[in-house]
Amino acid sequence: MKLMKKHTSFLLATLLAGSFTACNPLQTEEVIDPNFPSVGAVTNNASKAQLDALSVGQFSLARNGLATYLLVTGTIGKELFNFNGTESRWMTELNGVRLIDNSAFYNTATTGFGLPVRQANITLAAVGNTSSVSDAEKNGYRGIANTFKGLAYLQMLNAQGTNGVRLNVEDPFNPSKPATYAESLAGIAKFLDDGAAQLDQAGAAFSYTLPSGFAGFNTPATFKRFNRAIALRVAIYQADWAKAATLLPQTFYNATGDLNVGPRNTYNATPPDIQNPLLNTSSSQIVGVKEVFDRAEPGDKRLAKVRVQAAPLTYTSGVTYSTPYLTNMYTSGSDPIPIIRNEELVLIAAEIAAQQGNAAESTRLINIIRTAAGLPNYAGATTKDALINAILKERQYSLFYEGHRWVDMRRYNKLNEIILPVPTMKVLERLERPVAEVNWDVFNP
Amino acid sequence: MKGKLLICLCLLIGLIGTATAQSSTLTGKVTDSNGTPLPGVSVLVKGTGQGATTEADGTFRITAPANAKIGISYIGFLSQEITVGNRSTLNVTLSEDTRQLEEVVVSGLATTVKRSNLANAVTRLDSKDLTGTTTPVTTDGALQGKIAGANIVANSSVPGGGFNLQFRGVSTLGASASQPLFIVDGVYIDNGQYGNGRSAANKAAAGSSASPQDNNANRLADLNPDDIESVEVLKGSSAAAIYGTRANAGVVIITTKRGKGGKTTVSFGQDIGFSKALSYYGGADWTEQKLTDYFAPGDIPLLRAARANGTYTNWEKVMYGGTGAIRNSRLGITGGNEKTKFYVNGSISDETGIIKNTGFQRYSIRANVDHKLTNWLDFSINSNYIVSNNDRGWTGNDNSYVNYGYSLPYTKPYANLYPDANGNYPDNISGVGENPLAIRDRAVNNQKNNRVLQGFTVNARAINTAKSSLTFRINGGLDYQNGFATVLLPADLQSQRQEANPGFAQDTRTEVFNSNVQVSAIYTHALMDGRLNLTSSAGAVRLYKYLRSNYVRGTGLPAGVSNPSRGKVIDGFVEYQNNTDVGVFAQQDANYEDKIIGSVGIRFDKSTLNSEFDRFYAFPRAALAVNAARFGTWAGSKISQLKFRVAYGQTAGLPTFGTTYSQLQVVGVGGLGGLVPSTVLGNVTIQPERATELEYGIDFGLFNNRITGEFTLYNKKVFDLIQPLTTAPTTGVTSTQINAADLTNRGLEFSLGADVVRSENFKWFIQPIFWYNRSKITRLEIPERLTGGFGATFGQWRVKGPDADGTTYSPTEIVGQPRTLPATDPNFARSWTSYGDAQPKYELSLNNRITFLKNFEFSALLNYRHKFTVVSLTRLLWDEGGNTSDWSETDDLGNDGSTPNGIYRQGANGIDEGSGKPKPGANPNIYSFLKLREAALYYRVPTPVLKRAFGSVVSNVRVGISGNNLLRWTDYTAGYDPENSNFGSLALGAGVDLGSTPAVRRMMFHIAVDF
Repeated sequence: MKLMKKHTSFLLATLLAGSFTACNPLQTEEVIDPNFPSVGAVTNNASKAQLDALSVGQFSLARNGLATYLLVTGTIGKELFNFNGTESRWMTELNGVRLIDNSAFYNTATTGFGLPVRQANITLAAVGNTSSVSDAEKNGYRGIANTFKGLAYLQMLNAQGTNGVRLNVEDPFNPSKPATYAESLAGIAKFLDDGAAQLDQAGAAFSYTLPSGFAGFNTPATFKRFNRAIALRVAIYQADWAKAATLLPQTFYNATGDLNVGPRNTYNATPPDIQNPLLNTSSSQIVGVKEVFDRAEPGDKRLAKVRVQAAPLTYTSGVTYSTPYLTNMYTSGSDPIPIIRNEELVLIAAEIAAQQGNAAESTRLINIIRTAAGLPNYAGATTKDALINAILKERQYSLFYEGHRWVDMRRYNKLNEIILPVPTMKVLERLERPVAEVNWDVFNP
Repeated sequence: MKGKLLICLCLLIGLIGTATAQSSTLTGKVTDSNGTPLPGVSVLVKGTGQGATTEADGTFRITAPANAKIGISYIGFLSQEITVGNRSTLNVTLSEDTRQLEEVVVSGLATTVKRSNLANAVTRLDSKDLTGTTTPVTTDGALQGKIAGANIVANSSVPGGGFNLQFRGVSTLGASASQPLFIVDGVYIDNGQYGNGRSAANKAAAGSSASPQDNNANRLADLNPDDIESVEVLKGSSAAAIYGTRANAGVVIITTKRGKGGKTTVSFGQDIGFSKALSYYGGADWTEQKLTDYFAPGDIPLLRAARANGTYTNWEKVMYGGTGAIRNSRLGITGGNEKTKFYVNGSISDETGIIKNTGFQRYSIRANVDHKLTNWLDFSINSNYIVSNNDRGWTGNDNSYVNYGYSLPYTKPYANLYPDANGNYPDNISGVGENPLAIRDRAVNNQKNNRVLQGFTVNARAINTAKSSLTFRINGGLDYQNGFATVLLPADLQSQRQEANPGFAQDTRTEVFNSNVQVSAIYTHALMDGRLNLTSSAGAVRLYKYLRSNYVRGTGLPAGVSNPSRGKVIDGFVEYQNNTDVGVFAQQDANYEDKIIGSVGIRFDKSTLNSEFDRFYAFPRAALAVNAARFGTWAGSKISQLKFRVAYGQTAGLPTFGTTYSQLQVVGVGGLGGLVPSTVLGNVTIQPERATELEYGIDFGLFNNRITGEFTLYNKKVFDLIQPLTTAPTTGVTSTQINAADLTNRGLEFSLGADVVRSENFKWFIQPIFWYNRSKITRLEIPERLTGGFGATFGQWRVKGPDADGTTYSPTEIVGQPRTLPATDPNFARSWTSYGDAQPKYELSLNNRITFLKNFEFSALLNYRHKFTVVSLTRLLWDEGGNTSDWSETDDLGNDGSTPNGIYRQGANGIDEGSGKPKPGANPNIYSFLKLREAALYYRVPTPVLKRAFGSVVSNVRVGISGNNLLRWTDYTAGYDPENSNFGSLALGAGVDLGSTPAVRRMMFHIAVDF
């Protein structure tokens, strides 16, 4: 027993020594995120490099949700279809053949624009809480942020229509209720106007070089022209033609200039950049609706946006539909996607003129577009309604795949005039409010 | 069973010590009912602490006082207590403990208890239960249908595992570990599923670095089931409380085989078998009329040509009609002496799937060594090295036609898919973007793993007297794995050629390290002349885990290139995770004459995964068992056992790594780098999910334990469940994790065992097991939400709190389109149609073991799962493709009798008014199945025959045939098999059938020889 006791004390001593001398085995240390920087790092006295990075992030996020948005608006407007072999809901649910869902992938056409808004709000807050940069530089960051905020909201509103959008989401846990459609448009106009005013105070140059897609729009003064172009879109949606007429000259509108001029989202397949998301693949082929392109006037150069296939492309999952027109606009992973082009501004100018009773000016502008498309001058009636219809038609071809057809027909209450390529199809008036939006309001009345 | 001898020995060693006066020598022999000597049997003189173990020939010699009581016990056999009287020889025959009442079950981190004294319903499966009937590929597969209270679902039929294990309902709603904690010989092992980029290659989940849609095996697949001596399943918090902060989903304690000592035995085993598809799904006929009416009339010439040439082919049979080969070999050596015992086992498992180029190989070598340094100090070392290699194939969800599980339903029988003479695969016909044969033969989805499991235990007995003992124990170990996954889609595949950067190759390395150390002290003390035994234990635990994962992804591969770093566009990714958990525990057990057994304990745990990384959370437990049959008048009656038991305990589930972080992510545009916030906000106040469980029941044995039963009720409450607070997504924040929900799991588990026939030439043991679980959410402080699946059209899991009127909802309830209220109703948006519950109404197993003519043994395990909801998109794919076997028939529920089912079902939706059943559309539906999980017939060559043939060289030869999932009955019509999961192992959202492949039937021939 004596021997045993000796062993015991030895063992106890060894155990204690082994456990507690080297380090305290009960002590742990906090684990700092080994993978990413944190949002908290930019909210307090952000450096110029951090603000630049946030601002660049804003340009990157202008592409957020855009692909889904263009495909969804194009599908509902019956100008293009997504022949998606592995997802028949593009053809069925978005065309009203099956029930529309509020929790499906196409919610991105709405929700994808939330993050650019938040990026703008984080940037605005960070700019307001730093002394690292000059006031002019601050206004540059703010002007960019507010411009993209307005654009993102406008796209969100186009998807949601009369459901409206939440104009105040600074606190994501206490967002405002959706505003009415008119209030939403007014709120978006305000963001854009704020941005324009800030750009006016932003000096001669931004604090960093803007992405290449903004060549020609990369100083506060020229960037403001892009801002005003978006504001112009808002004004025509508001049918405020007087305001639109005032805004038009502040944009990069140029009736005699290149119709393709305008800022664009750029892409690159090499990470962390992303590749153009609208490329046709084996499982997702974006096709032009046959009824639209069959009705195009002969020789219309805008038909080059689609490529006629020798054998028609046929879709048979849930809906059977054939068309020979495969879109041809995006073929490379680095093809840019325009945000707004001079062609749209010229057509808006024509629309303003028609609405303000200036048929001659309207016809002149329509003919600029038609001439560029290789078509003879407009020969139809010059009543306001006839001109508006003519402009809507030109817009259909000029702005194909740019997210306008459905919105245009809706703002003129002409959704029932959209040709249904398949009799069982319907034209939805708006997307459903995403389920999470609905639930939030139910839960936080 | 014999391996557990070691535990006995350990306990015994301490008791061999001082001799008492007035003793005489007692010798004897212990045999089993066949007269075979039993070595290593514990022979104890009651109340003195003296004893011995039997030798290889079953003999023993002890000194015992006159009229002493001798206790004789051996794992796997019923104990006996014999009064010696004035005998000097004592020959004892032990009968087999078919009810496992004597087996020792874990009761604490450092303590064990006899099953007959256990207060919890702990399911214990020994090697015979696990692998005695047939050879499952993985350990989780070996558990299917054998555990009351467990819902175990195979994710895929591809060899190599992938299982979803849920014990007693759901213990998390997705934000904490959904799978139980696995501990092998005291080592916490990793059972993760690691991504390999497959779902990026096929765009099932584009851009994600790790997705459950990669459909990988959980890493328990690495463990060789044949090495396992026993598995103990702590299903709920009351039993698992001693494991504290990681134990919410239950704990599975695996003990591997150990050396028995004595003569060195060499065991060789070989399985040879095959697997075949259980059923097919397609095969609809194609006619010109069908093409004209519903598909592409332009294909008519192709159909005509195929008919004329005889090339009209059922491609499903070509793809899935193959035969998988099963070859398992193992060679084990066990032996040793009094001081040192060893178990060494090497095994090769090699199984190919029914689909060409799928398969699983596992090479495992294990060495378990026990050594006694002195009579007070011993240690053991367990080493296991595993190499596994798994070709998982291309099944499940897909957005680019790459997966053959997805392209095949659309592939027309008149297509030509066979490669030409030069080996070039033709494109699939218009509308289907890939040739499934080309993917099968040319695409790679491989995962290799190198893994080391290393465990150790050191026991030091500081005090060792007749009345008390004090043991110090250090145990722990590490689990290190280095996984290497390859995904390759050659650039010239049909699906790749239209990509901007054709070809996809990804090389993923995943390094996971787990280590744990536990220091404990165990003090036992006998009071009241040995009638009251007290055991105190206390100690501390420290666990550390890290994960380092990285990949290189190359797209735009030049011809013939498979190395991702040679791609035109190269993407890289690195991720790190690490966490440390620390716990301290103490436990007091008391046993009064095996009549009243009580236990109280507490564990304090902290983890760096919690936002308060330095805060200890307490996990108390208490348990009481009363063996009523041991009281007075019960003794000797027909009721041989009657135990009332009740147990309570608490556990927790940790937040997943990163829950506290609000990240800024890196983006690039036009050559500039930028920062953007993640749409998920971190929560710096996150707490662990905590559970309490009250479990109570009755165990009984009748007619000398010829019939035994275990009846258990439990009520497991989980609090502070971490839920995504789904914000309005237009705010730019989609969610943050908050502690926002409580749920309750109540259930019943009942198992019965009966020796129906017990004659010499025919023994029939039957064991029915019945169980069910009901889950309900009792608190939800976030908006009701749908999760899992692919949108409400196909059905999703609804997380919904109680209504104002108190109505509660199950978190596994499946809801979907259409809505039930008019569109004008304010509650329209949430008025989903309910399609039942993904958890079965009940589950039933029936285990049969028949021994006849002494040497033949037949066993069969039936498993029935009653009415559970399956979300399936598989049928929709086959219907859209026109290939479902009953596509052209017109008789499906609700069909008008003239539309083909395949067309009708695409538009069918909701509940059929006439029958009240869900329509056979894209919506979810409710199904049941009965499977003959395992069946086997074995023949053991009688010892005299062996003696005559081989002398004493061969001691045991056993041959047999067995099968897995041999027969199946199911009303499932929406795919191949109702057991399926496109999303891998999840608490909510598993069990979505999409792009699946046939379930397989496995048949094997076995031979086992002991030398």
